[in-house]
Amino acid sequence: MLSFLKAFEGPIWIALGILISLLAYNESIGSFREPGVGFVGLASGLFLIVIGSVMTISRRENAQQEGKGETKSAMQTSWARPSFKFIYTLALLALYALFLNLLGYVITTFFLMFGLFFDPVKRRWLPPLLASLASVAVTYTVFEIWLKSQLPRGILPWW
Amino acid sequence: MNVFHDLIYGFGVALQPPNLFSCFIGVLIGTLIGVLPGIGPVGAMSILLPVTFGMPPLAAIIMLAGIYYGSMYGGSTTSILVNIPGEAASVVTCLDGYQMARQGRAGPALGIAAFGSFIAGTLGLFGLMFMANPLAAFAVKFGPAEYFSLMCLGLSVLLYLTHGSILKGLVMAGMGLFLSLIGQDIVTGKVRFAFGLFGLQDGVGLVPLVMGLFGISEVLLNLEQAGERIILTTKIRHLLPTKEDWRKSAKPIGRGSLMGFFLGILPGGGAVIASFLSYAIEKRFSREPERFGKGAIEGVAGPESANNSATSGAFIPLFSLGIPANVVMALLLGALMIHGLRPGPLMITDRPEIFWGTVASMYVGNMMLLILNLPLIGIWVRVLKIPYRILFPLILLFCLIGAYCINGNAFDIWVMIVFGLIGYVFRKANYEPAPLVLAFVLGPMLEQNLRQALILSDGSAAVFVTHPISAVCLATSFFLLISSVFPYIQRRRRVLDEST
Repeated sequence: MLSFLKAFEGPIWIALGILISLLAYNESIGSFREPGVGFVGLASGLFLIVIGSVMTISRRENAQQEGKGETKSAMQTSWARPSFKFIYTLALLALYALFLNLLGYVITTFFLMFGLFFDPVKRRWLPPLLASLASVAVTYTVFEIWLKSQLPRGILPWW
Repeated sequence: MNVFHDLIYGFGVALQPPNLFSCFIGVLIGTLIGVLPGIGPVGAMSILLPVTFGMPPLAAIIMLAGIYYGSMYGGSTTSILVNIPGEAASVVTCLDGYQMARQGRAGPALGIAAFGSFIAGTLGLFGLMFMANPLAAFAVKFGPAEYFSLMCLGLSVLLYLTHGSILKGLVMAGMGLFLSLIGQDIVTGKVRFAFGLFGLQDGVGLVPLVMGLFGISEVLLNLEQAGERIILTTKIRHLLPTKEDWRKSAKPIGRGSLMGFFLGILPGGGAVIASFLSYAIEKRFSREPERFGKGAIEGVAGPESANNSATSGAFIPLFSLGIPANVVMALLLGALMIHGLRPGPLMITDRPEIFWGTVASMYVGNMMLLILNLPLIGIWVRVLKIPYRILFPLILLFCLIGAYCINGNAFDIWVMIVFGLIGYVFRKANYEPAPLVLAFVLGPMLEQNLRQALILSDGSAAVFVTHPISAVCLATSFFLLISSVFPYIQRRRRVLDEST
């Protein structure tokens, strides 16, 4: 995946620059006398196109340079095999964002913390359970009760 | 004398119990996050930003500033004892600090790091006291064209000094600029680039963006690294450096303080660059350069002084010009604005309690840090032993709460997760997120000043080169960018020569 990104980083930025420029153009760029809402947007889009073009032109040389200096193979290996823990953590975060308003802070955070503390190798239930309860209790006390941050109540309206 | 009168007033404000308590909490958290690898001052400050909403503005700024300079102190502990820098500015301390620890001299290494930091921090504050006011008086003359050019200069310096490819840095700055435009236009109020998403109508939040790019991505990267940290188990004794240690360290501390301070002032400079440059200079000036990397105390004293001094210097452009010199200052600027304060030339005269209170609190904070970092070193060593599998869920939880509490909106959590993933990809592909964040913060100001300058000059872009200050800033930016391209052209020529 890294090699794909490296090979196409220039074109990726050019494409993004074109997209930004078009979006800015649609928002009205105005004139030098009266710059519109898309004026700076267009400038940033064009800037990305220019830099992306330079990157594309110098890609071959960059590849040679990085091949010499960096531990390319090691990086490629880590890209090739994104760890289970990485995907698992990301999935838990996404689920947290999805269910936070629905289930409320206490329940969602408890499940998230349990999922994060749980060690699939050791398969022990009690320590992560206690750690999750403690972290929910402490953060709820600090943020909701002391700092009066309004955390979502969800299906437990009395909390 | 006026400065000292103002400083006494500042002490009167800083020593009020709530401010004193905020200062203590700030330096305590700063030391803690400096000690703990995996979360830097930017991540910690963005996580704690929502906590400061209920606090008075000065107490909030004192606490956030304390986190920043506190992390510089704490960062040296992990570098010396574990060979893992707690934050980026302490990377270079690993080279000689860890070697000293292996030779049974962890105590003097920690001692000189703390004393050097204290001396440099204090000297830096003197500079801040004497330079911020004249600079602010000078900045009153600045118009939109000057501000625009100054921000261009800030971005150019950052790109010039950034590690790795300048092209990647430029791309990051371009992306940061675009992201800053999302939401309501500052002049017309029209919503732009929101892609029909209600959550984007007010723009992308600074805190979710920074927490994603720095906090979440850092955790995701660390998850891939297996293995536990090896901590030196030898007893730490003799924290006070010997006469010989002091003799060797005096000049590096002086040089580091001076250089760090001026690098801190420069937009785009900062603690990381200051520490690296200090190490390079000490090695070059040393009569025995071969000792460096093998436990030379100068290699600890210089960089540790430089990074602390740079933190004081970085406050000057923020308070006197309203322009953040680095990402941490950008976050502090965001915090000031959230609290209804607008840093700039008039802030020092209009809100002296904020400026002088913060300066005085930094003196007090430096004293606190000396106590926290020397007699209590044992506690921080114990903190180091917390396994990452326990630490990372807590870091993530604080990030999630921080992102949610800004607006009480789960959309900000999504923004944070998305930028966490983007930050992870960027870091993997060697893209530095710092230029993106700085451009993101400077973006609205840059746009406003550009548009104002063009409207006032009746559409003439010449306004940027006919105003002397603006012309100097733009010329310097141009020179910096061109000079950074030279090595690339030389490499290209060499490659072409080799191939022919």
